Order: sequence, then C-alpha cells, then structure tokens
Amino acid sequence: MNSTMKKIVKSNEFFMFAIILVMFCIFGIINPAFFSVANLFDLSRSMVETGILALGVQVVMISGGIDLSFMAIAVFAMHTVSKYMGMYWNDAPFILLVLMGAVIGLVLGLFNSLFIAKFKLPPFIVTLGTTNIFKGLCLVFIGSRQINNIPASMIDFSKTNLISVQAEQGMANLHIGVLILVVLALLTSYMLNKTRLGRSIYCVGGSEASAQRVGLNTVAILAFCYAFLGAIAGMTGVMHASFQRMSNPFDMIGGELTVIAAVTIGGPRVGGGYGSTAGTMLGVLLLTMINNSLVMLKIPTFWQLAVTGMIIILGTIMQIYRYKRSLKNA
Amino acid sequence: MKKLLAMLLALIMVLSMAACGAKAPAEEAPEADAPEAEAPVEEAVELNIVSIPKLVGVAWFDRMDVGGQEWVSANGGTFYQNGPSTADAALQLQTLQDAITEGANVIHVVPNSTETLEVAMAEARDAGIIVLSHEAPGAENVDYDVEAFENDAYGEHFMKILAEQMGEEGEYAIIVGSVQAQTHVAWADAAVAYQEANYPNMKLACDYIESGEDHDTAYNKTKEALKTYPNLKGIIGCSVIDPAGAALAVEEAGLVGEVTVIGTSVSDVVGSYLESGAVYMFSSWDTSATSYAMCEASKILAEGGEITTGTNLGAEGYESVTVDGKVIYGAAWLDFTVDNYKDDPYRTAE
Repeated sequence: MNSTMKKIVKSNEFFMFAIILVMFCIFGIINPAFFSVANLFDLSRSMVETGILALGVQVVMISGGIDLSFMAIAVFAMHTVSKYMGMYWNDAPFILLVLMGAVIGLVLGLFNSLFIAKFKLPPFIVTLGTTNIFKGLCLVFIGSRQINNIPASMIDFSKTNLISVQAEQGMANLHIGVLILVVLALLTSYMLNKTRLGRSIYCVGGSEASAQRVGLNTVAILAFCYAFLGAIAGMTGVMHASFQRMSNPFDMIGGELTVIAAVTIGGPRVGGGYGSTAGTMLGVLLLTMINNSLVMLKIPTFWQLAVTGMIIILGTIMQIYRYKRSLKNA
Repeated sequence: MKKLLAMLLALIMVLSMAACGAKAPAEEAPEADAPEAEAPVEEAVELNIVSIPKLVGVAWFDRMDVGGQEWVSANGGTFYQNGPSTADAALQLQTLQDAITEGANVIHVVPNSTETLEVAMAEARDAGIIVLSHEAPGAENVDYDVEAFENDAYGEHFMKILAEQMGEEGEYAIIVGSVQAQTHVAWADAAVAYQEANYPNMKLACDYIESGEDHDTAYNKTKEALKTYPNLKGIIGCSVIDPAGAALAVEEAGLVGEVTVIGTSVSDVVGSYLESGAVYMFSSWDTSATSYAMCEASKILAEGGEITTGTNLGAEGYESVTVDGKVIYGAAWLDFTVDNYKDDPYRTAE
C-alpha cells in the first residue's frame, strides 16, 4: 500500500497535477472569476480541439516519431467537408461529416506513413514537406475563401451543450465536445495500455531494431501511428469549423507547436518509448489554462506571449530535472 | 569585330539623331498653343501598376483588383495584382522586390508591417518608381499613403454608435488585430479619446485585446473579458473577423441585447450575427474605390501634377480628398446594419 502511494506521488502525472493545482490557486486568487463555473466550462471547451489532436500526436511521439503536418491535414479535411457537404448535402448528419473528415485525414496520414514507415525517411522532414503539400493543394483545389455555407448539423453541434446554467453574466455552457474528448482519451488510453498494438508502439519507440528482432511488424505499426493521427486530425478539423461556424483555410495552421508543446510537457519524450494519456491530458490542461487566462489575469498583451513561453520552458526544465534525478537514484 | 563596332556606333548616331528630332517639336511647343502641347505628353504616360495587398485570395483585397482593372479600362496601361498567400511580412517583402525588378513604374502596397518594407520601398523610389501605400499612414518611403478616411474620424464614429447603444454608460472593450497594426490602434485611440471627452460614465475595461486576426482567438478572449468584467456592455472589433468572434462569444453566453458588438467587417463574415442581433452594425470601405483612387493619384504624379486638398481622384468618397503631409484621406466608409447589409459590395453569399 505504502509503496503504491509512493509510486503515485513520484509519478510524472502527479507532479503535473500538483503544478496545475498550484497555478489554478494562484490564478484564482488574482481573479476570483477564475473559479466560476462559467470559466471551468469554458476551459474544458477550449481543451477539446487541442486535447483531441494531442491524443494523436502522443501516439506518434511514443513511437519515436514526430508529425508537423497534422494541422494541415485538419484544415484539408475541414475545408473539403465544409465546402462540398455544404453545397450538396446541407442536411447531412454530424456523425457522417466527422467520419468523412476522419477518412480524409486517414488517407493523408497514410501518405505520410508511406515515406516514414516504408521508405524510412526522417519524419520531421517528410511532414514538413507534406504540410506544404496539403496546405497548397487545399488552397488550389478546394479554395482559399472562407466558407460560411457549412452543413446545418455543424452549426447545431456548436450549439449543443451537456449542461447549461445561469451564470453571473449570461449562461455557462458545458459543450458536448468535452464528452467526445473524454471518450476518445479513454479509447486511446485503452489502446495504448491494454492492446497488443498499443504495447508494440511503445516497443518500437523504445528501440525499433529490437522490436524488429522480436518479430514485430514495425512498418505496419508506424504506418498505423501516422494514419491514426491523420484520422484524429481530420475529425478535429470538422469540429473546428463547427465551433467557428465557418471554415477558413488559414485557421489552425501555426498552432502545431502548441499541441506538440502540450504533449511534450505531459511526458512523452522526443525520442519515443514513454508517455501516458493522462500525462498528455494534463499537459493540454496546463497550456490551455495559460493560453486562455491571460486576459482574465489582466496581463498586458505585450507580455502574453512572453509569459506563455516562460511557463513552457519552466515546466520542461522541472520535468527534465526530475527525470535526471530519478536516474541517479535508480 | 571592327565591323560590329562601326555598326554599333552608326546605330547610336542614328538613334541620337532620332532622339533630337523627337525633342524638337516639344521644345517649340510652348511658343505655340499651350493646351495642345500637353496632350501628347499625357498619352505618353503608360502606367504599369503592380498592386501588392497584405495577402491574395480574400474578398477584401480581390476588390482592389476590380477597382484597378476598372481604372485601366478607362485610362489604359496595365494593372496587375500580386501578393503573398498569407499575411506574412517577409513574403510580402519578396513580392515587392520582385515588382521592382520586373520593371513596374507604379507600385501600390498594403503593408503587413510598414517597417519591414521601408528599405525596399526606398529602393523602388530611387529607381524612379511611384510608390503608394494604403493602410500605412506612418510609411516614410512612399510618394503618398492613401487612406479611405481619417482614422480619428472613423474611430470616433464607432464610439458615437457604441455610446448610443450602451446608453452612454458602462464598460467597453476594444479588439485590435495586433497592437502593431497602426490603423487599428489609431481607431481605438481615437474612440477612447472621444469617449473620455464626451461620455464620462463610460470606461475602457482593459488594454486593447489582440486577436491576431484569428476568429478563435477573438472568440476566446471575448469570453474571458465577459467573465472578468461583468459590467462589460460594448465591444468594438477592428479587424474583419473580430466582431464575428466577439459575437459568437456573446451569443453563446446568451448576452445578445445586453452586449453591443460593432466594428469593421464584411457581411459574409458577420451576416448571420446581424440577423441574430449579436452584432449591431459594421463598417467597411470599398477597396475597389480606394484602388481606383490610388491609380488616379499615380497618374497625376506620373504626369508631374500635384495632389492637394480638394483634388478629385474620381472614385466614390474620393471626390474631394484631404491631404495632410504624405497622407491622402478620402471620406469613404460605409455603415451597414441588419437592414442594408445585403448591399455590401463584398457580398458573395445568396
């Protein structure tokens, strides 16, 4: 019993949780509105997009790779689905639209896999290249204009709340997207921890050569990782347009690093083999909290970027310090 | 080799004689009838105009092409629009440098970042190119900067409308694209100054909020502001997507009717929010008129003319411009509410 407690206290997730709790209290003391139901609901809604993307990114990072193209994939899926379904089948059910986004993303993810898993090219370079390919093809063939005529079910989705309560100023809404994030997080966690495929991803991330020797099909496993992230990104794209009630092909791109930073803070090390869904979600919560509180904390705009950067670096330093110390003790 | 040299010399002689011959009538002209003499000079001015917007592919800047083409079909010359696909200062600088080497004799530019372009704009002017900017009243290395209106007047007009909707009391917030966007900050400053002078019961709630011209950011920051300042009753959004992002936050919080959102936008972006009441009104200006006026101004400068207060640049809102230093102001903003937003020149829907 005592040793389990010790293990939990020493774990990376517990440490993250403690940092978040401390920051949460500090933010709340500065502005009590931070503790309001409305703010908690808003924070959880802001976590949805980053959170879902982070689930995909962590799988790729656990496998020892990196993907920079997921935002471009998301935009490609978003704009394609918004445009054509908006034009030809405006009443399509939301679930179908999300699945279409996932399929488009899956195909683009497999395109990445082809170079990374099959031809063994460095994932950083490949996905940097495909980012531009996907972005360019989207602007040329799908269009560079903002689309307002998106399917009605997407707009309905943006208005669907799990809970809606009267707050001090207006309504406080817990968006249904939060439920989607929770379900996907549980599924991903199950996949990574309890299935043969999931454990194989950790093996490949730890040492690809050893994984191969013990008879794992590393090509198929890596291909799965990038395809998985592609599908996740495609879904998120469709959800993004729904949240914004329009599809703008210049959205999202540029936000890659926020997601990668969230995942990195949460545990998975660049280099692979480590990481847990719980840690990733805590990382996302931490970054969302920072990014979406600067107006509430009354921090002047010039300082906002600097503060975000400083907190990311501070968080990473503490993580690495703890990691090195744990190596010494072991 | 010698033969070639001789031929070259001969050619130069012939050409220089031709040049002298061509000059002769012009020299004689002043002695003759003056108006007649001006006519041939005017025909000789053939403008090759390159127009560089902040980015291409958006309706806002597509209209500049429309205005330019309109002017060209009436006056001759060429008008060619070229620019970056994202509002990126470095990419825009490349486009500007390309335009200089391609031999344009007029460059129109809407800078993403004026400072980044100053050196290249100076190079262009040294090469004898006429450089006109838009949305950059602080630009130094330009012949003129053309503005649709005086920023102070535009900012004040927003404050008048906002004050009227807020009953002249309560807190308000202002969203700008970025605090480096000179025009946005100029509007905001003028609005605040006007409020301080005329509406003592109103108060700017917080520093200008930066949206980065991103819908999601405008939305999230508005939500934060609504929670932090419960007395917030009005929002002015400066960039095109700011009123839409703010309106989405207001609508989701169920505060339509309690918080007034106004600002610069186009009907395609905020049309649905005008219908729902989340946005009260928006203003814009037709960049095709601005582009037309810029072409006309270029022509006047190319012909050695002068632009002064009262000059007519031939486009709606520019019939009698105000010149202040290097800046030419029109009076060309357009206001739209739920009643007339379908007349918006940028409208593509329905």
